[in-house]
Amino acid sequence: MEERHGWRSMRSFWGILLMLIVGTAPAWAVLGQPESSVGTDGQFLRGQIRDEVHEGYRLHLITDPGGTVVREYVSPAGIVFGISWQGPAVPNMQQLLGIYFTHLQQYAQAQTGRRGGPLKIQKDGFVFTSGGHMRSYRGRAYLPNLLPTHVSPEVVQ
Amino acid sequence: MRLRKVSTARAAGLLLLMASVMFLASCGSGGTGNELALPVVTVSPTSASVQAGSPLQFTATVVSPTSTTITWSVNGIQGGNPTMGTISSSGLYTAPATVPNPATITVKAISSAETNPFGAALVTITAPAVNAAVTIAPTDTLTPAGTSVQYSATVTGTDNTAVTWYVDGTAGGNSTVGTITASGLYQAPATLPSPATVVVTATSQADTSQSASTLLTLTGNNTAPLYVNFGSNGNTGNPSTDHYNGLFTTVSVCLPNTPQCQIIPNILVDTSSIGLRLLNSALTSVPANEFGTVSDSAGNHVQECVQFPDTSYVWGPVLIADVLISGEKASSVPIQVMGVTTFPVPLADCLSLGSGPNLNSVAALGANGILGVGTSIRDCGPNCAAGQIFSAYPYYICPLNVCQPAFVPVAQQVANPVAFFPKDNNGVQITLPSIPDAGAPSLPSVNADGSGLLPAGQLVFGVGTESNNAIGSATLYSLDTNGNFPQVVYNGVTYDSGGSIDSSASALFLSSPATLGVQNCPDNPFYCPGSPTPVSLTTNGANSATGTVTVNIENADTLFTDNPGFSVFNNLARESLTGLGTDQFDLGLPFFYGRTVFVGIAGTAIPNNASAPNGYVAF
Repeated sequence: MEERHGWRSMRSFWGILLMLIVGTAPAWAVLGQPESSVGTDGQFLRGQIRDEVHEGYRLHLITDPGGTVVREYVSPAGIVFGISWQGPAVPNMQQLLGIYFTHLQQYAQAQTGRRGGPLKIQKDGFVFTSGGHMRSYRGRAYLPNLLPTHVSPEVVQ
Repeated sequence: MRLRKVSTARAAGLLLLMASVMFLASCGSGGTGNELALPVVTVSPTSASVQAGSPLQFTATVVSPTSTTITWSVNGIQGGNPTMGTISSSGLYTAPATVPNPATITVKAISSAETNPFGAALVTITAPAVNAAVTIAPTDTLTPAGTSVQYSATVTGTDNTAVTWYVDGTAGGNSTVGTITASGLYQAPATLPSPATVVVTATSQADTSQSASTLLTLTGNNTAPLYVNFGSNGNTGNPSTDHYNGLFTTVSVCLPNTPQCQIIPNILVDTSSIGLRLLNSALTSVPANEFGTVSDSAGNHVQECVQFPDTSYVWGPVLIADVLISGEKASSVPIQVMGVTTFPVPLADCLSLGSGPNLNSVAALGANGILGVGTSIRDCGPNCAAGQIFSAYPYYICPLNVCQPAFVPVAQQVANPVAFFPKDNNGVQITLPSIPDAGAPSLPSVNADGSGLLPAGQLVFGVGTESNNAIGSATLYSLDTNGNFPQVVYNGVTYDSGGSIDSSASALFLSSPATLGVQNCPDNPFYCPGSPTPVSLTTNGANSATGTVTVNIENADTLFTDNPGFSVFNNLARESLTGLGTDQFDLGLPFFYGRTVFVGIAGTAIPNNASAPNGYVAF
């Protein structure tokens, strides 16, 4: 149990929680970049946003109009160390992954001839998984080197 | 004095002949007259067999001091004749083209003016070796029950090209597996045998050790064959890229309401996607531009960008076709044709996940298309018909060659063709045979001698609609809103991330190596446990149904090394989406072997009055 400071000073509990804002998210943060590095347009994810403060990190949940939930994980230092998504469509990876999108392209396209089942990439300080099936996708990406102290990669889910 | 055995080689024989003459001449000067009365000509070899039409060299050894003149005869005829065979002045015998009667002849080498003037040899002429080779056509095909197939056999290496025809090892076949005439006309039985794959064999009558076998899979009114193999790209020997456990069937597509159809084999059968998607390159006799189109009110044709969970993607127009599979027909259903390059892929908008391979070619897809027979009627649904455009939105129009997302009414979205069959339209049944733990080359497959049949699987349409698709005692698992088992339990841990079955996946996608206690293979993406590792999962349905699935993990390196060329394995596994409490199980094709699996479409008639608003699977 620990007093932590998010955007607002708030007492938090393990595994939880507090809805801070409900509104339209015009943009979001990019993996590996400061939380302030939000994109400038809301073209890709005109979603409802909800913020939570957890032990050791902050979480932004965005639900897009297609029903896909995107979670962004922000370290106390204000760096986005992980993202995840679940729902009937896939959020815009180029927007969410930033410079790591090229990592994804490079590794994913190297999997020539691959078919079916989930994809897992774990290279060069970048972990990416994607799975599910048509009308139900699920995945996550995180940067192990940027995980906050005492935060397990499993929180990104 | 004994005669010496001499070489059959002609040159050596001549040398020996001369040497013998000289030797005996010198002996004779100091010997007795009786010795000179012994046979003076011998022939080597003294007996032999030779194939009809083949040569045989004889050598005469003369032990006479007075004469070395030799003439050759066959059955008393100097030089022989075509019936008995001929022999040259140097002793080269050529057997007749066909075996004489009697088959044994006498060759004599005759010397002049001696007491015992000839040597003789017996020669048996044998039938020529039959290097018969049999080939059969057509190979590995399919036909509806009750129809016939004309087979032909080609026999080479012998004049006798007659063959005997067998079905499943029975000459002429029988009423259960079908009959075949002496001229190779196969007549399929009216009802499907079990298994529905039969072995047709042609055996050479000239050499019964030579035969050729091929497989024929019979289809029923609602039954299509399922093949398992490496797919269009075959076996490259690279386990990291080869398509193990590829599940395929054959479909026909027709221009709507016309008899203009094309049969297209090598279509992936995918329980985790929805709708028929065909590569444009496979449409040769029914071109894509002759299908019906789906357009908005301004006449813009609808395009689609489909992203698969492994980040691969396809792009192409939505078109209207009649789809025929086995005896079922879906009339005027929206399909996608992949790789029509009328418009470029709108990368920035569409491909949020599609960062992986573009599958718009046979080389990339390893197939001619994908038949998605999952648990939905449409590939998107109401989200794509109205409301707001979202990231990775699939449907586009391209006015003035600029593609932009567009709403498409549900009725015009790419559809699961099964749902549009006049009957048998509430789901599918996938049945695959059990296979050995060491794997199999393919399904169907058979040993070269026609034994050891592993039949094709069956894709049966409808659940509980016919005598051949009753759900029986299978457990029906209603799926959650994600189309998954709501929970999967492994080793006492309940994973609310659940899981699903996936006929398009080459492996069992399971928990991490650490969780399972297995090792990753060093050089491919599969698991390489030290010993076969059974994994028992409890699957829970949204309807409180629960059951146990036991699968087995074998060392993939061992499997590949011990069974080169095999594409069918029931024990390949690799890591799925994993993480503390978040493992999501994806039971690929290895799960399906030896099972009958039902996939029920949401919104259709559910057996046993079960509640399955999101569809179901049953096994």
